[in-house]
Amino acid sequence: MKTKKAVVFSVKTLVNMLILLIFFVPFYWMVLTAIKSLGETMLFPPSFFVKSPKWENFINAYQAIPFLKFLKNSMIVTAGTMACQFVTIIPAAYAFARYEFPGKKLFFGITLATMMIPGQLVFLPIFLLFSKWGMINSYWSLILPSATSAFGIFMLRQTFKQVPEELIEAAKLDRTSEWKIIFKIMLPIARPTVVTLGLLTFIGTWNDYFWPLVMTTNDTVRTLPVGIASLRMVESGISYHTVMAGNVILIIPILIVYFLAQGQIIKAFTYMGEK
Amino acid sequence: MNKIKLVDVKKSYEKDNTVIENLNLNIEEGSFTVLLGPSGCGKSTTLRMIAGLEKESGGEIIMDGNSMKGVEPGERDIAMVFQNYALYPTMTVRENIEFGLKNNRVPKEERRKQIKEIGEVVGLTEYMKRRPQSLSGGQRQRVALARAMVKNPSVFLMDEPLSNLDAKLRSQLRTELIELHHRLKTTFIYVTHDQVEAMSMGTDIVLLNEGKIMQKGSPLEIYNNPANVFTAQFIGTPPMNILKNDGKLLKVPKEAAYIGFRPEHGILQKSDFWMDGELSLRGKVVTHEMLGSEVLYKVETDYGRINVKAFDLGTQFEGDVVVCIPQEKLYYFNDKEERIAYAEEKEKKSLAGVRSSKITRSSQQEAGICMTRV
Amino acid sequence: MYDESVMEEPFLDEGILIEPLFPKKEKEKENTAAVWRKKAASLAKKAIPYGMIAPAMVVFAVFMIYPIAYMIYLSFFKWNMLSEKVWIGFGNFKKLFTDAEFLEVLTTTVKFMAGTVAGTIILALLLALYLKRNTKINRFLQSVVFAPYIVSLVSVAFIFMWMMDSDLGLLNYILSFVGIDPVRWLDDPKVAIYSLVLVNIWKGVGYYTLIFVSALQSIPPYLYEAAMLDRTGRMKTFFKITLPMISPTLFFVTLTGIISGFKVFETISIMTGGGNKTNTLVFNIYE
Repeated sequence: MKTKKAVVFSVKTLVNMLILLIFFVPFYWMVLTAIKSLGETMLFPPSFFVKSPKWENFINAYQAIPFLKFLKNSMIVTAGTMACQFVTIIPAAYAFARYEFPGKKLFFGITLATMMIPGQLVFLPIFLLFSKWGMINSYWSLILPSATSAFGIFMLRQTFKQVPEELIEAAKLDRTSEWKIIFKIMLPIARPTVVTLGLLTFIGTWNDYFWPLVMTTNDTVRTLPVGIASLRMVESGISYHTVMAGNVILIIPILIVYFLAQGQIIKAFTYMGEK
Repeated sequence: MNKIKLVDVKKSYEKDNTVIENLNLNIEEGSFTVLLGPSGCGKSTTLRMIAGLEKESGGEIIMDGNSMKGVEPGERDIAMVFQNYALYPTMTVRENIEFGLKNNRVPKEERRKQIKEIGEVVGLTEYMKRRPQSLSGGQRQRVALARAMVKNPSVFLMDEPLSNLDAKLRSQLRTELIELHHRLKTTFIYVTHDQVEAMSMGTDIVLLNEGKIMQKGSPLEIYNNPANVFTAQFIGTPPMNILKNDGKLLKVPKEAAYIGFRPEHGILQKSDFWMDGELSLRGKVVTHEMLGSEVLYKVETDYGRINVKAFDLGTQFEGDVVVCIPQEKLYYFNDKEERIAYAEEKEKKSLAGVRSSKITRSSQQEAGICMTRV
Repeated sequence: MYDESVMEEPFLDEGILIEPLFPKKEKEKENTAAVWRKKAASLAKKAIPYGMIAPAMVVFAVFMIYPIAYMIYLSFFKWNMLSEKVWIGFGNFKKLFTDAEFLEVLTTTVKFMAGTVAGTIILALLLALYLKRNTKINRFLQSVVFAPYIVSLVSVAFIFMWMMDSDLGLLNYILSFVGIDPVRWLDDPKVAIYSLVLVNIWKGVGYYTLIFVSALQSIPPYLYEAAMLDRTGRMKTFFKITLPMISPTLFFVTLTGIISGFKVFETISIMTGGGNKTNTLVFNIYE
């Protein structure tokens, strides 16, 4: 009995280690390559440790592309998208949750239907639209198409619907105006959902590569992922140590957010699956 | 003086789903009016229409002589206490109480003073900074009460405020509410399905069924002079026994379709005993339940199963028995289930009453379980 | 309410109003004005929900519904963005489905999608079954497995492009330990598409694992207790209890897997540039 237990334990440990390696090593390899010299990256078999880290790789990556501009663009687009979504989602979710009006079903149906449309399918007409308005290479072309989120409206509506009717009635008896009901009573209750949505939008927008690529023709408003991707084009062939250095910079904000709000993020992402 | 008047009030949700039809009701200033009835009888809807949370489909609600048509709930000079407390979960106790005052632009100094006073009255001073989730059910309902009281309304509306509490707390808060009514002397309108609550608290009971008023009166009147079979069976535990008159019963008027008597008025006798001049029924004891001060027998008779309360704990009845009911304790109902000889018997019955709401109240006060710090 | 006529009187005396006033008529006017105001107020009240959903609906209309409609409309025309549009009916579709290149793209897409979805779901289910007990180690491993999911696909693509390098890559080095010849991961047209599938599985499996874990944890334990009392075997328990209980989740996961598999763009764009038989539909549209 005892030996069987020991075997199970050691097999389990082995499997755990294997899982850890499979999902951790690529990240380790990224950081390692980022501080290797060009010569070290060319070694085969590769080395697993670096004696003298080449921190200048980061400076090289930083100088190879207009890094600060990309960073600024990423920040503006992410913040702008989050702000727009905040403004569009909250009232829409509240109206769908708490009002009865002709056409409500139709509008809500449209909202749900748009969840099925992948952005990759519709970028061409949108590009034409923005070029007609002269808004290509402006922040608007990156922010406006995702200025609202069907999923966000759906999720927040569910949360609003769960608030007991009596609470709103009590507020009405307390002479509370509609806006005050939303901002002083409903939103504080829905705070976890709002934070969750904010995280989803932040991660999604920060990581997005496709949209900033197809909506722009030059670097004016391109974001960090596009910038990092352009690192592979410098000089002849890919110098992986520079690319990895840029990669590390791109990943760090996300990983920081992940470690700060890990539980919340996991809940946010799995929420969709549990519905 | 009438505080609230409902004139031909109607409520229907869809075309053929009418909840309330032509309801006429006067609620007196300073009364503790209880809207009583089974679930789905329209009592809550009536209360919510008075509050303005639901719009009447027809008729009019008049408060202090003014029509309430188009008047927002917040403008009606009322306060409401809900069954599930409806406290704002993200605010502290203090903020909950303060919220309505702030909306009404009460100056800060004034607010502070009022909240302090109310907190002392309901005994929540130590809990002011807590959130509702960390309070017990009884404490939460006290917060809800404080939130209503601080507005100093001319009418208190309460929608089954005690039904989420356990039995002990419920009776304690019942006493506190009666106390509160005595002190504030404002109008209370209280919705409940619990007849014990209605009997013990109300000065007026309005018994509703299927959107219609079955009877309105003081607890004493409703208990002793039920106007119909519904009232007779709704009030009292266990309910009044109702027998269908098949004409074979002795000394019962022919026009009475139903005969009723309360369980405590039946007298159990051994099977060989037959009392002349009283209504007697043969039957068989099915079960007996010891209730402490009395024993409740369920007796199977030719007219169905009846409940009889026996106060003599010494003798136990088994098997065949005879149930005798004194003539003057009988109630007669016609085939529309309405009471017959209502007027003539009224006097007699009320004199023979066993309890009155006033007596109940003063005895509770003497027992010292009433709210302290008045 | 006060009586307007009484209010107007002093003004008349002071001569502020030059024209004589007819209080009665004025009152009537006031009444109709009040009626209008009331009507306007009720109209405004009815408009509130529409105003609330308007911003979101405008965004949907302009950036979702219009483009889809426009794409469908365009598909019936011959147009290269510069020339005049010419109506050709279903010509485009006919051309597409007889075009050898398009058919190849279609097969690649299907291959890619099927490989990713099947691989991800099977692996995720195994991982979830392994990690479903709520212990500290399992929670830690779950968050490790999930980490790739929130990292940009661009970064993941670069990392794997580097690890899958045919000459200097880490993967080939590891394989050499087990005695397997170097694989030309991204350079061999027969292998490249599966290498991309592998990368996508690595990135997405954590997400599906977490979804499966929460589905597995929500199966009421008494079902397993009942099965144990009935002496049900492990396999039978899995196929008769676990699988049916998580089948809604399985359905959802398959659906989202197919949609996101279809959308994959970054890995292809960066790692192979559509070469070596990795050109899928979306990448093709982009080109």
